[in-house]
Amino acid sequence: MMLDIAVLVSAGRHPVSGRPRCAPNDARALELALTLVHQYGGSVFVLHAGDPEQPALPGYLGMGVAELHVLPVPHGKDSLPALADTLHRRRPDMILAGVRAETGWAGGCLPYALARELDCPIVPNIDRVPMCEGGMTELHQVCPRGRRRVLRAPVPVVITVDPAAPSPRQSAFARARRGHIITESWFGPAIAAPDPGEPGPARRRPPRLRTATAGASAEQRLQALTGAAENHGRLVETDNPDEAARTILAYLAENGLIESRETDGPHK
Amino acid sequence: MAPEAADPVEGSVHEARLVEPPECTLPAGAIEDCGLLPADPASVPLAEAEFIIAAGNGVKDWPAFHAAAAALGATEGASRPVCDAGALPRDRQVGASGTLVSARCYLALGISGAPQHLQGIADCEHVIAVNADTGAEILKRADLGVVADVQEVMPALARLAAERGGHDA
Repeated sequence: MMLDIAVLVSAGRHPVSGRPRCAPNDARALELALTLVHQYGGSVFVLHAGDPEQPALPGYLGMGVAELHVLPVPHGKDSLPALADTLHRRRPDMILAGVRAETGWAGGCLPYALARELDCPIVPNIDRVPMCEGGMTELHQVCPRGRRRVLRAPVPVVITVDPAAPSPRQSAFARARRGHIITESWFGPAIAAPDPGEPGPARRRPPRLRTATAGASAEQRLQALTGAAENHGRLVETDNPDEAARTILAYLAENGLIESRETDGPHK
Repeated sequence: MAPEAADPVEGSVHEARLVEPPECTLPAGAIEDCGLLPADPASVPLAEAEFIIAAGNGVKDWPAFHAAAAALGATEGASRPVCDAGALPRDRQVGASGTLVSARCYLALGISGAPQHLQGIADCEHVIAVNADTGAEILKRADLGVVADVQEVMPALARLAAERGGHDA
């Protein structure tokens, strides 16, 4: 099966230096697309809406794509009509994007709005695509506590790629120089985008101490913070290691941290 | 009442009948949920792990530690001295200079409980500590403290956990 994958990329900004860079989430989406195309064959269509002169864009070319297509959406205008028009005409099998952009409004709503415009399903927070055959894709969705949910979705589908997905490959300067940034034309209304406001540096709120500790020593304050001073626990002293192990397992079973003996089924 | 007439039957009348199930097809474009994959405890990042078994300077028998972790289905963690010595990789370090974990259960083996380490496990729900030293700080923090020799408890823990059916890792 030849896959036609569109990847939506945005301009990122380094959190410390403030320099323009590839948005890491979008770079992960491109990495996933390149991996899939390497496996199944096909093509990757990299799309950006905004300024063609944006200095962050060559970073994506350096990952090994020959062309990057840019829709020249003026600053302060909504990029949704341009993307929807282009993707509606192209009809790719998969549309990949990071969960959210790093600059601008960065609300993470664009993939949802795009899926509605294109009338296809959206699956958020994907880290792997293990199978893609016969008009169906199998996707692994990232869940809390390191778990993954297996989903099957028909193509075409919009997929947002989770930060837990494999890291993007290194961007090479020479490949970025060889690549081409192509300005595309599009038809649609120019809608004013909501103003994202002025970005400013974030300040971390100081953690609140659990107890009032005026006049206490540094060690006492740290103990109050870590809960070391509170002693509600049970203490067992034993010379027999089996008894110690049994005590621990009993505690784990009692609190439902491992399956208790009574509910143990046959070996799976 | 007229002859050959009777009162109506009290209660409801029942009949068992086979009903054809309605045709159920997934609408086009539907996403099918095939369930959760079990998380591999060895590869889960510490910050996301649910059950952590952590080794401190008191642990000398590493094969027994790994066996206990596998038998309990727990993610491995370590204190700073262990990571400094290179016994476990740096991304397994729990504490102020490592990862601040929020596991449901934290099993500390041979960890004395430096304030920086206790800061890393401040959000853990259940803390179990095994230590040979009665005066160890972590025994004060622990919900269950066991004063015993860690080298002997680890193989016993691995054996008994495996005996009770254990955890499919």
